[in-house]
Amino acid sequence: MAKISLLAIFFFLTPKILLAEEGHGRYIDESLQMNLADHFFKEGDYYRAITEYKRFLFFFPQSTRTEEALWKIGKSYFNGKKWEETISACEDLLKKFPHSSIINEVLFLEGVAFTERKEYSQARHFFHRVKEISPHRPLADEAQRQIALTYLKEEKWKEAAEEFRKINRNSRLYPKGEYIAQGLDRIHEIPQKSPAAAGILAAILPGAGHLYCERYRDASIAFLLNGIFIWGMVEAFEDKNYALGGILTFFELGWYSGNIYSAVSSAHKYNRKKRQEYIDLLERGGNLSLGISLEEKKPIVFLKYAF
Amino acid sequence: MLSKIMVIILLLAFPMQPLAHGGEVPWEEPWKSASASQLPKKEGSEREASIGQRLVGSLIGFFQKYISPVDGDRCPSYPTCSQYALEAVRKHGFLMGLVMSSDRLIHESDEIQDAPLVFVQGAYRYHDPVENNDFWWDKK
Repeated sequence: MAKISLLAIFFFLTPKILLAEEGHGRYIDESLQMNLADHFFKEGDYYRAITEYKRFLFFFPQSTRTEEALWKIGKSYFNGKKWEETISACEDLLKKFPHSSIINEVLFLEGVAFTERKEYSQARHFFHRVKEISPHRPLADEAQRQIALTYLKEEKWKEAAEEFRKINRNSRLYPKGEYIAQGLDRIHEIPQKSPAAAGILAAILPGAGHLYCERYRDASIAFLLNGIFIWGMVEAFEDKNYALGGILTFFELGWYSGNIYSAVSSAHKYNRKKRQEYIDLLERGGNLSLGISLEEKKPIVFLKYAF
Repeated sequence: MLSKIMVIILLLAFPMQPLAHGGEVPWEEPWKSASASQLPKKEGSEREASIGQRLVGSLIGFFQKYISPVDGDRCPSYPTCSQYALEAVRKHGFLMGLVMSSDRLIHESDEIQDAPLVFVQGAYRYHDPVENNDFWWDKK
């Protein structure tokens, strides 16, 4: 009898205990789910943030914050340096919300993702769209600067300078843009090595081309390698050891042509490095500018600092 | 009878062996920031190889399999010199590939002054791919 009573108590109480547990459980609502995703985003854990934003979209498809979740997915991909996925996420957002209030930001982000993918022409297309949609917003000035930067990355100096000069004069980006444009006008003045001269020098004396390009270790290696193989080759033929002479000639041809190629390549690398150093210098400088302007016929001394 | 069934079960289970190692796959962090997997894809591997390219491929394959492990890893660059030669020959053909391979052996010591460091195969190496040496004539 006692056993039956115990069993009865167990069966009657168990559902109540379970229900009580359920009553104290936590329900995930829209806000909580978005907060969790934002938490991962702020921590820089973009991979998990995307999962949580997607979970948000799955559980709350009718939410008014769908656009926000899609935008944050795009930003997470962008911060995670996943350019292709960023572009897809932006396209997805624009497809679902063609009249989005953040269309400018979305297009801008897509443009930067294309720039990172080195698809500069596509990138410019998006930056131009940003400018067209809201020509008077600060983002339009930033888009203009990005257009100029794409030309800079393509080493189209003239176009880059022109685009930098198109930045709005009232923008905080203008002084630096003008500074870079002025620097680009003088880019032909930076020291360059002639690839042809390097090649000819290397052909006359192995290693001389590298010496001209200021690559002293490479110069000594090229000189020694070629010298030893030519010496061995001559000795082998003089001793009438034609087989050895033939093998050494085969290898020497490789070293000799490699030496010429290497010298020409070194000149190109030297030029590339100098150009890059110059561009880096331009990009680092130009934050501060001092000048005089005439506003309402009164001369004004101005000091601008871009940060 | 029982032993026969056991043998059949074992034979059937044999092909499933690789699945048993599933748990040994190391945990991979999502979105590793710098790894060899993020480095540019090797070019030219999908092209149909000529006789010269196949010959060089076989010789380098032999070197990488039998000689390099004994000789030791001495190349400070990524891709290694033999791999670079293989990629150059695949991308630009037999002759140009050999010229570029000679260039790589000559320019290695000064190149490491400027080349970026990458962490691959458990060590830091100087990143000097084929594209770093053909950029001035191969604009593809």
